[in-house]
Amino acid sequence: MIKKKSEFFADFHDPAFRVELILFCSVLFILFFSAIMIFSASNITASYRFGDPFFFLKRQLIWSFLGLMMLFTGYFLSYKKWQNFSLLFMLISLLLLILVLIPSIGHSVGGARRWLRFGGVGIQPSELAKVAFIFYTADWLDRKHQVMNKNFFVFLPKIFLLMLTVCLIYLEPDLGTTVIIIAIVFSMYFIAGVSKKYIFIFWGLVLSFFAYALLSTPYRLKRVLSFLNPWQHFSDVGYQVVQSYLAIANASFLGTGIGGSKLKLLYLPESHTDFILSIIIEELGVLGSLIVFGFFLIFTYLGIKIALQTDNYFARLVAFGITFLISFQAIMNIAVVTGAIPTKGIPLPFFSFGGSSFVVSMFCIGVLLNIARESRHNIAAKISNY
Amino acid sequence: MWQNRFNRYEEMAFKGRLYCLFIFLFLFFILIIFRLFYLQIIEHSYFKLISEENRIYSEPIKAPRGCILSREGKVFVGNRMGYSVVLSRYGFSKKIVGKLSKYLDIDEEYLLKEIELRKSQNLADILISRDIPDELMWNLSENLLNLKGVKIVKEHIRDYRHSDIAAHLFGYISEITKSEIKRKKKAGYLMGDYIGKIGLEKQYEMTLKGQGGFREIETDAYGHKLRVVNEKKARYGSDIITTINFKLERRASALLKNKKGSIIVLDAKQGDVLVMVSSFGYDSNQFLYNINVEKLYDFNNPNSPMLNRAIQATYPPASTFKIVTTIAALEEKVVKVEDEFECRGGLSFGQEKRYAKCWKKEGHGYLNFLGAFKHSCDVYYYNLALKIGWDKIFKYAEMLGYGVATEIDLPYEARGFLPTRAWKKKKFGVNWYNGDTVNASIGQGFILSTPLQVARMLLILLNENKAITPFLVKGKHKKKHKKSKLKVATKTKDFILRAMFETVNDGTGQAAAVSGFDVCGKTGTAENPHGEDHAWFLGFAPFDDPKFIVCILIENGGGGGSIAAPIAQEVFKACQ
Repeated sequence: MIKKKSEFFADFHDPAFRVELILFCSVLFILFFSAIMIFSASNITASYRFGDPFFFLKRQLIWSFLGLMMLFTGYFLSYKKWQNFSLLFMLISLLLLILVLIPSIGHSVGGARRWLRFGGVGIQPSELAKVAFIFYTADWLDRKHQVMNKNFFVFLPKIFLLMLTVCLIYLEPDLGTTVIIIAIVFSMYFIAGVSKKYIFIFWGLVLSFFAYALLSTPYRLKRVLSFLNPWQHFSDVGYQVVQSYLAIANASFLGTGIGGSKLKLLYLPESHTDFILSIIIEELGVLGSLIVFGFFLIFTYLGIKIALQTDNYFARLVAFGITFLISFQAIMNIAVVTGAIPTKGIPLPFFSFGGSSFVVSMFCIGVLLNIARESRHNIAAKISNY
Repeated sequence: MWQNRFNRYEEMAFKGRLYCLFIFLFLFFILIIFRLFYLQIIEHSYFKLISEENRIYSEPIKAPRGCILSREGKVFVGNRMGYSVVLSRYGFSKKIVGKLSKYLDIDEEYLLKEIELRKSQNLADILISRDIPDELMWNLSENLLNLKGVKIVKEHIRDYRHSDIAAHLFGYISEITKSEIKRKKKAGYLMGDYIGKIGLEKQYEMTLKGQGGFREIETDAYGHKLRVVNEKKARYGSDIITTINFKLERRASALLKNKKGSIIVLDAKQGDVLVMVSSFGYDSNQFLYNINVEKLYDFNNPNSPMLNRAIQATYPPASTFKIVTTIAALEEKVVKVEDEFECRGGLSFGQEKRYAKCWKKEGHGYLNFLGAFKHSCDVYYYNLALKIGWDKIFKYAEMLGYGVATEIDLPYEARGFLPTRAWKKKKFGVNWYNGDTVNASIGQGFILSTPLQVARMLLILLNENKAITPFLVKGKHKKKHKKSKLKVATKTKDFILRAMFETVNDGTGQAAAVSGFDVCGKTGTAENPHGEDHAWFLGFAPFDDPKFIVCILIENGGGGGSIAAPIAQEVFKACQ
């Protein structure tokens, strides 16, 4: 075997290593880019609310550092470890989801109880739940691959667990994350080849759940309807979307230049979190859109490539789950910002300010890189065996 | 090793599903790109137009307070336009504050502290300095470009033009506190509004304050004003016309210069307050500029300038109370007008042989009732008191308004005090002695009253069965005017008025006489255990047809006849 230190440098000569390198470099680039954009979008709000224009930038830099730590953790620890701990992860995230609903523990902002606070740092358990579900579902499909289509009842505990989690997140309330988790689990089922019959049954269950969720709470229905005509609801639920339209329209082709946004002047709430894309487009125009969309396209392409490269079934499903999670969230966020779907409260991965979501995304990238690395080593080992 | 389940067929099926899903996702993505393209490029000009047009913000309009006028229509308290410097909360920076402090010549640290205080008010603009001089205003306006966030605003500034002659009457306004906003939720006050704290400003707050309005202004995203969308006009505060006679008030306040005391002149028929002066006074204007009004109160000042001595300070009524004793004696028929008592400078009485002195050491000799009244002989009244008893004197004292608030339209009025037997028993644990009655009969001891109560006594006496509440604003006084319950025989009343006339012409009050204006009155010298005596004069004029009631009190002044009466003379001269 080759020694570890020289092995690392030997990587650079391996064409398969380029996948990892490109992915890592593009994430690093996005890290700097998003820090600049978060500062540009938030300095007005920050100085208005906290008297310090650098308030969000400082925090974003700390989060970036933590995120990089998590990325390297994911990269250098073998993904096989996560498979063994997947059930434990699931239980921990369930526990946190229950804790966050307890009024004296959970921290509520704007009526939604989504955060656990540890000494000034807010953690969003629903973000952990997303990753826990990817690992857990991948592990389960890996083990039950042979028997799953023979007996519908093996799904029952899974469905129960999913429903429990979804209900807990729905109670926070956080409809956006609910949608994402359901989408991840079902897409993983679909990829793994679960019988289409079963998937139709699941969809029936889910759709009735959403129909109930929408019709039971008038504000949700109003919110959903508002996206059809945001101008009519300008004064309340349609406000954000209209401001977002105006930001995008204000950009024209080239944008107003960094720092030139008008809508961030307290007009557009959440300008540094969920609606940062509006500000990016307003300030950088088509170039901004190209950077954001380009990044997600490259990421998705590389993610699929990594998923197909590996010969471990668990790794393949995890790689797919992570790729799907991030690209699906991105699409949902872009759709909200352009007014194509109702407002949800889904951050744009890597670009939006927000601790838990950001760190979790970075960890996901780390795991993805690790999967690429190990499959490359396996292939190398196989070739050397011949 | 290639695992078993990864046979070629499954591998292809897996790839197929994966591509299927991502192609689906990609199509959705393309749709959104089209949507974005549509918004950004095709609808650009339409949205751009809206973006620059649709900003509306609401701007409060403050209503100027109503004026306070004298009865002739002279403005006592008005408004003027002034310029104030404000700093946008949003543009706040230490550098700007440093620059401002140089312009305004205020210590920077003091300014920062004030700003911290103002910040808690949660207003968009932080007030830096109110009502700056014009010169400074021009200087600042020229340099506004270097002072980002600083604005100069035009404001109505309350103008107390005659604070030197009647400060206590108007009181003052100052910035509303948080607790006051909470208490008066319905009145719709905002942070930074002014509210009357004392005096007429407080009493008639609701009349004076008016109602603020607002203006909804449409601006473009740059903040340029385009048009007024909606406007609710401010309702100006109503003026109030007081009963104060401006010339008399000014004269009276001049007479009290550098003296502690109070002058009250009432219309003898209606109860209008023509003059109400309390000295020392204060400058009402100073309360406009500070948040911490309490800081301005100088509690240690021996002159207590914040105190309205006419209605808030209580003194022993002294010999002016002899009017009450006289009425009680005549009405209860314990003594006839001709009855004489001898005054040897004092009287010993009761089983304990207590001794009470007359103010005149050598004594007055034999006096009849009229003589006793006009020379204010204490011994004569001691004798009367012993015969009448306290309960009957108390009855008439209460009817004449002692111990009862006058209910004049000013806040925080003192009620004075009229002792009862029960009160003394409770307070000191001893019975009411004859000595107390003797003391009380000449207005000493426990009795306390405000100058206005003393003046009102005469008002009650002169206006049987008529309204006897003194007031400052005609028609606005909501409380029903109380009517006098006093019923005295015409003989008694005539005797008292005659006696008061004699007092000024041939008695203790000669210094108050004005030729051609039949002044009547009664002097008083209140013994003050803490210092110099208080001088009283209570009188009216003219004798035949009373028009003015005058009450003078000089705190620590000395003798009523020598100190208060000459001042009364000046007041009557001005009234004439």
